[in-house]
Amino acid sequence: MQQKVKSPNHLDVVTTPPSKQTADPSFLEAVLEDLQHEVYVYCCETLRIRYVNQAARHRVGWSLQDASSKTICDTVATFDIDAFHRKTAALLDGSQAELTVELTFPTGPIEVTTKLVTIAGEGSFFVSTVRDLADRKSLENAKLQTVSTVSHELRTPLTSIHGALRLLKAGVIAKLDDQTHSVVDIASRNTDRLLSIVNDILDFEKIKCNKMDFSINEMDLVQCLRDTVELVSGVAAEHEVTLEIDNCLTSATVLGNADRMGQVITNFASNAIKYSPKGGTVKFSIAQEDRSIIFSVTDQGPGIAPEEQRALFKPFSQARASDGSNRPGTGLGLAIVAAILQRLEYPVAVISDVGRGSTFSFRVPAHLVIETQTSCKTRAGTI
Amino acid sequence: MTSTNILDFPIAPNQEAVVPSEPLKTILHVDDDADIRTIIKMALETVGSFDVHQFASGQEAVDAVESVQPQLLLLDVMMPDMSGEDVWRKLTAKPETASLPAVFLTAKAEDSFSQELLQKGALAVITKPVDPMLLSSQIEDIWQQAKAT
Repeated sequence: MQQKVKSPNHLDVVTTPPSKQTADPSFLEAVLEDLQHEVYVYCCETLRIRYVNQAARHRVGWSLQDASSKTICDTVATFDIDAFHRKTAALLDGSQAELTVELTFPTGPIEVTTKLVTIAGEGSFFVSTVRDLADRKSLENAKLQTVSTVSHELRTPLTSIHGALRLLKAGVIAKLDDQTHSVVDIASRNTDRLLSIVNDILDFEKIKCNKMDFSINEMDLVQCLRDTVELVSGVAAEHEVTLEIDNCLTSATVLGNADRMGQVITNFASNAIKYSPKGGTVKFSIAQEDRSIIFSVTDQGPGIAPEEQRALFKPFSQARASDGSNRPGTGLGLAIVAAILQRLEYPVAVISDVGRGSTFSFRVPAHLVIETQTSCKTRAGTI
Repeated sequence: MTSTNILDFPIAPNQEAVVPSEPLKTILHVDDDADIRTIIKMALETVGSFDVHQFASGQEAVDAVESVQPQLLLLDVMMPDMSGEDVWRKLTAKPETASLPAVFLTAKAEDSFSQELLQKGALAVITKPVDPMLLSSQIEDIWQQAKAT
């Protein structure tokens, strides 16, 4: 029985009494069958299809009878079974509750969310729902396109301002008194900030529009770390932060992209320096774990509360440190990091201890590790 | 005039730019942005000690190259009428300037694009924004490295 209630804005809302909310199986099946999203239910061991709804059958061109003889691998001609097993391992071992991946099909972009469901007496099944992202993507792209067009226009004048201030600050044109120097300093610092916002926006747009170079080559992660640490050592000195490399690997050859990895490590390092207290230490580590390689950056900053961690990798959202402060930044740095690591298929992780610091890390999966060399048990070098 | 497409120049850019053994003194710089030209001139003449001859367009540079007699081209990549790469192609197509070495300035931090220019024989690709306090030493280093090889 249904009843009408008045919602606060006086629209009629139809509700079902709680006792009737456990609908019968045929009702649920009808809803599932007519759902606009595709639904695939399949055995987590054999991957044999148990159920596919109408939207799914329509896309793959199966009848109900066809479906019962298929596996999930038959849904796409290019189904990568190894990648599937790698990604779903975290669902099977319980370390992850659900898995969401975005894929580009000839028909457009889609989002696949997979969960493990165990039904008493039936066994365990993967349930994958597929959502068409075409509309959302085209809206996102339009928004990004506008922002990046503006950024392109901003970059040339900003480059001139940046150069002019640099010459002024260095006293090439005239010697500046202390007051003028501090005003030029403010202008210079803020121009740098604007330029980094513009560059981040353009980088983010490049990644989203597949214009960023992601060519995969053999690269040495240890060398990449050394180069990056040298690059950020000036900023660290300004912040009075010590950088320490603590790893026993002398080289770690992996399949990746050196420029993109440099970008990721620079971003992690800049954040760690930015959030460190004066006199603090930022530690970089590259360690082998089984056949994978774990890269991590640890700071002694204020840490990030769990509810803030969720927003860390989202674009334009700068997480608030647990001391309540915000540091200068674009809110795009970690979104770029996440997008790069996702493309390289390196899982990313954050461990944060409020009041003690944070560790940002990524893992190079075993199948992307070529070889490693070690010359000592532990070695710590201070830069 | 429309921008010249890469396909309009079937001749490959000079693969063997000749870097003379004498010290670098004269640079020909092309950039359509007047403010950038001012900063680059200060960076190379006031901070550094080069002679810089500047032009706002590729065609002006091509017309003036014989009178300037530069040792090095410093070219902005993105320009409205003739791109930096096109200026280089035009000059390397002339026998008298065929071996002129070129350094490019680009706002495109596109690695593949930079790689492409380097493969075609550019001495270096410097990504903007340049640091005017470091540019002259960067150019000097590039020159010394090219001489050594």
